[in-house]
Amino acid sequence: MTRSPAIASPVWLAVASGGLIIWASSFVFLYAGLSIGCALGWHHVTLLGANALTVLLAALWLVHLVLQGCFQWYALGLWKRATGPNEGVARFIAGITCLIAATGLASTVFIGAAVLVLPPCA
Amino acid sequence: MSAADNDGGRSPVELHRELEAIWRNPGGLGRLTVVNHSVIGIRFMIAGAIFFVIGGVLAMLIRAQLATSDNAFVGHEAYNQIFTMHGTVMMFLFAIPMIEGVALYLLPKVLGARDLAFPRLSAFGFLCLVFGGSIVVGSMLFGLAPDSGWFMYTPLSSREFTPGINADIWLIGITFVEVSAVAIGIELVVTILKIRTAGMALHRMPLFAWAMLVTAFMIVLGFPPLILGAIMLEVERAFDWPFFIADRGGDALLWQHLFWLFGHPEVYIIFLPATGLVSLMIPTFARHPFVGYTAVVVALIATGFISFALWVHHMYVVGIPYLALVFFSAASMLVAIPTAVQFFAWIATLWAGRPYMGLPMLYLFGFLFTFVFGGLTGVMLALVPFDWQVHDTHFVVAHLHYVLVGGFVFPLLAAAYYWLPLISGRNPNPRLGHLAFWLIFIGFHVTFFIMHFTGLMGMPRRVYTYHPAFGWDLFNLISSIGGFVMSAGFALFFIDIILQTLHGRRARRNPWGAGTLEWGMSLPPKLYNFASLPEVSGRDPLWDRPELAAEMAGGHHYLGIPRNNWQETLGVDAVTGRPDQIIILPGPSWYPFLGAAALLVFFFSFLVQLYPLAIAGAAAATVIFMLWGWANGLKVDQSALPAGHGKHLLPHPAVSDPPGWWGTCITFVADGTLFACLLFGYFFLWAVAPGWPPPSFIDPDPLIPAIAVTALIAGAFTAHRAVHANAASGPGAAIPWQIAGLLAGLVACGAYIAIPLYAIAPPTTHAYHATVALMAIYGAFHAGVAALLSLHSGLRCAAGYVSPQRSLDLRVARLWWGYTAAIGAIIVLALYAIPAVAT
Repeated sequence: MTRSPAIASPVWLAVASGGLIIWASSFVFLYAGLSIGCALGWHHVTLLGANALTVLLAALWLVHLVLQGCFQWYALGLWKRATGPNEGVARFIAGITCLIAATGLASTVFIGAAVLVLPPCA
Repeated sequence: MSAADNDGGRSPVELHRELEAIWRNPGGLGRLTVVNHSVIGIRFMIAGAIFFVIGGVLAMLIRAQLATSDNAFVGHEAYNQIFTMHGTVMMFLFAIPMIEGVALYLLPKVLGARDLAFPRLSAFGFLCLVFGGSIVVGSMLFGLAPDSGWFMYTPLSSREFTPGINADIWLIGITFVEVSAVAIGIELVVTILKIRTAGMALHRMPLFAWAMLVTAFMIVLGFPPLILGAIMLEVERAFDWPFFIADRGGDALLWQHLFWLFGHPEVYIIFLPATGLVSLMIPTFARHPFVGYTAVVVALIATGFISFALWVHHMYVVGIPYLALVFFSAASMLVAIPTAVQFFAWIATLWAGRPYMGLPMLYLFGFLFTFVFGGLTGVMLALVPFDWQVHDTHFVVAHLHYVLVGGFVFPLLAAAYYWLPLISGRNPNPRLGHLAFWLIFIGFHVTFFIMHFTGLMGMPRRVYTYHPAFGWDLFNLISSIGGFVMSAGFALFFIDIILQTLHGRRARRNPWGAGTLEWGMSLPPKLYNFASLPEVSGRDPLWDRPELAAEMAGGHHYLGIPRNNWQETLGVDAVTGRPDQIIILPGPSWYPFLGAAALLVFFFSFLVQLYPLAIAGAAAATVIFMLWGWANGLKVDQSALPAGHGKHLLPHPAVSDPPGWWGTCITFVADGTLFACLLFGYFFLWAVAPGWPPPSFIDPDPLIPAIAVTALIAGAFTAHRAVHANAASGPGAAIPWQIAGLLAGLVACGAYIAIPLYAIAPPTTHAYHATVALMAIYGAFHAGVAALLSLHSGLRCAAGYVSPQRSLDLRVARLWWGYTAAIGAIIVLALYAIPAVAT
C-alpha cells in the first residue's frame, strides 16, 4: 500500500469551519444547559449573587467566546503562513477560515448575549 | 504536448470508438443494471418530474376545494389525504430527488470527471426512491394515503388516533426514500472531494460543487434524525413501544424535535443547490467571472451550519422558556445574512458584466424577485410574537411556498432551459418558454401573495372548508384562480421541454458561451463525458483556454488511454486537486436492483405485518450487499500506470485513500448522527417527559454489559491486529484474527440482544424500557455487522482480494469495529451508569 499525502487534506475543511463548529458547540451547550438546568431547578439556587443557571450559562458562553478568540488568532496566523507551492489554495483556505471564524464569533455573541439579560426558565 | 504523448498513436476517432465500447450500456432488460451517472441522473429527474405532476394535481384539488366556502367538492377525509400527500410528495419525492438527479447528472461534468465515486450506489438510490415513492403514492389508489400532515405530528399519527395503515405507509415509504437520500448524500460528498479533474483545487471548484458539498453534508447529518423518528414511531405503532405516548413516559414533543431537526435543514437542502445552479448560470449571462467567490463559499458553509440551529423555530408555541426562544429566534434571523451575501454577489456579477437576457435569465429574475419576498416573511416569522399570531395559518403556507417555489422551482426551471442543450443536444426555443414563465410567475404571485392576507385574517391551514361569515371567500377564490393559471404555465413548460427535446434545432457545442467544463463536451455528451481529462488553472476553464474542448476530445490530456476494458477517471487530492490515483469504476450490475428489491420485500412485508417475510427480505438484502462487496477490487497488486502528461498513478485499490475509504468515513458521520439523536431521545425523555421515573430500571447485574464491552474491545483489537498481520506477513496471517473477530462480534451481538430480553421490563411498559431496548438493538446491529465484516474480509483474504498493497477491506473492518466499540461503550454507560447515578 502506498501512503498518499492526500490522506489528511480534507481535515482542512473541518479546520476552515472551526469558527462555526465552536459556535455550534456554544449553541448546543447553551440550549442543553438551559433545558437540563430548568428541569433540575438550578434557577432556584443562588450563586455569586445570581441564580445558578444564569451563572452557568454565562460561563459556558464566556468559555466559547474565549475559544472563538483563540481560534480567530489561529486563523490569522494561518493566513500569514499561507505560502509555498500551493499558495493559491492555501491562501483560499486561510481566507475562508478567517471569515468563518469571524462569522462564528459574531454568531456566538449575537445568540448567546441574551443569557445575561433574560431569566432562564420563565 | 502532442496527442501521441497520451494515446500511443491512436487517432481521436479510434480513441472515442474504444471509449464507447468500454462505457456502452446494455439494452433490453439490462437497462435495469445501468449505473452510468448521466442515465441515473436523468432517471432521477424524470421520476422527480412525475412526482411533481402528481403533487401539482393534488395542489389543484386543494385549491378547488378551498375556492369557495362550505364547498363539498371533497370530504374532510379525502382532503386530509390530499394535503398530506401534496406536502409529502413535493418535499420527499419531488424536491430532494430532483436536486439529487441534477447533481448526479451535472457534477461529474462540471468537475471534469467521467462518473461518480460510487455509480452502483446511485443506481441503488434511484431504485429505493422508486420503490419507496411507489408505496407512498400507490396508497392513494386504495384510499389509504397518509392523512396526518406531511410532518406526521404525534399523537395524531399514533395508533390511537390513526388506527389504519395510512401513517405506516408514510413512515415506511418515506424511510425507504430516505435510504436513497443518504446514499446519494454519501455519493456526492466523496465525488466532490475526490473525483475532480487535475488542477481543480478547492479555490477553483465551481460554486455549484461547493453548494452540493454543503448540501450533501447536510443530507448526511439532517436525514438521520427523521429516520430515527420514523423508526421509533413505526415501532410504537407496530409493537406498542410507547416513545411518544405521554401516559407511559413518552413525549409527543420528541417527535417534533426529531422531525424538525431534519425539517428545517431540509429547506436549505432544497435551497442551496438551487443557489449553486444560479451561481453557474449568472456569470454566463453576465459574460463576466463570478464576483465574490470566496464570500459565497463562506456564505454557503455558514448557511449549512446555522440551518441546524433553527428547528425550534417551528415549535415556538409548544411552551418552552423565553430564553430558548431567543436562541432560536436569533439564529433564524442570522441565517438571512449569508443568503443576502449570495444575492449581493449575483447582483455584483451582473453589475460588473455585460448581461444579456436569455430565456434562463428571465426565470432567474423570477427567482430573485420571488425569493426576496419569501426571505422577508421568513425574518418576520423568526420573530416570536409575530409567529405566535400567524402560527399554523395560511400566512405560513404563503411563506413556505415563496421560499420553496421562489428559491427552488424558479432556478430549476431556469436550469432546465439552460442545460437542455447539454442533455438533449437541442436548443430551446424561447417563445413557449416566455409564455410559460409569465403564466407561472403571475399565477404564483396571484395565488400566494394574497394568501398572506388570508392568513393574517386568521384562516388556519389544513381545514377542508370554512364558513362564509369569516370573509375569506374572495381571497381564496383569487388564490385558486392564480393556482390554475400557474398550473397552465407548468403544463406549457413541460410541453415545451418535450417538444424541444424531440424537435428542437441541433445545438452547437457551448451554445451559451459558458466557461465551465460541462460545455466542453459534445452535445449530447458521451457516456464517458470526456475523451481525456484536462489540467485546469482557473474557475472558468473554457474562458481561460477556448481550445480546451478540442484538446479534450482529441485525447490530449489525462486518461486518454483506454486499457484493460476499465472505466477510468482521475482521483485527486481533495484540497489541491493534484492527481493521486486512477479510479477504476464499476460497470453495469444487477446488485443495485437486487439489493433494492430485497429491501422492498423487507419494507413492504413490515408494512403489511408479514414479519417472517420481512426477516427473509432483510436476510436476502444482507447476502446481496455482501456479494456486491465481494465483486469489488482486484486480485493482483498493481504498479503505477501512465495517466498522461508524463504522470504515473496507482489504481485506486492500491492507494491508502480510495473512494471506498472516504465513503465509509462519511457513512459513520450519518450513523453517528443517528446515534447522537438516539442518545438525545433517551435523555430528553428522562429530563422532560411526564410520567417519569419509570416503574423499574435496568437490572444492575454487570455480567451482560461486561460481556458486551469485553467482546467489543476484543473485536476491535482483532481487527487492528488483522491490518498489521496483513501488512507484515500477507493476507493469510490476517485470517485467524478475522475469525476471532467474527466470534467476538457474535458474542457482543448476543449480549446486546440479552439486555431487552433479560435486564429490563417489557419495552411496552414504559418509554424508558422502550428506549433502552432500542439502544441495545442499535448496539446489537452494529456488533452483528462487525462480525459479518470480519467474516467478509477474512474470506476475501483467502480469495486473494487482499494483500499488503490492497488492504481496504481490513481497514474498513477496523474502522467499523472501532466505531462499534466506542458506541457500544457509550450505550453501556448510558444504560447502566446513568440509572445508578440518578437513582
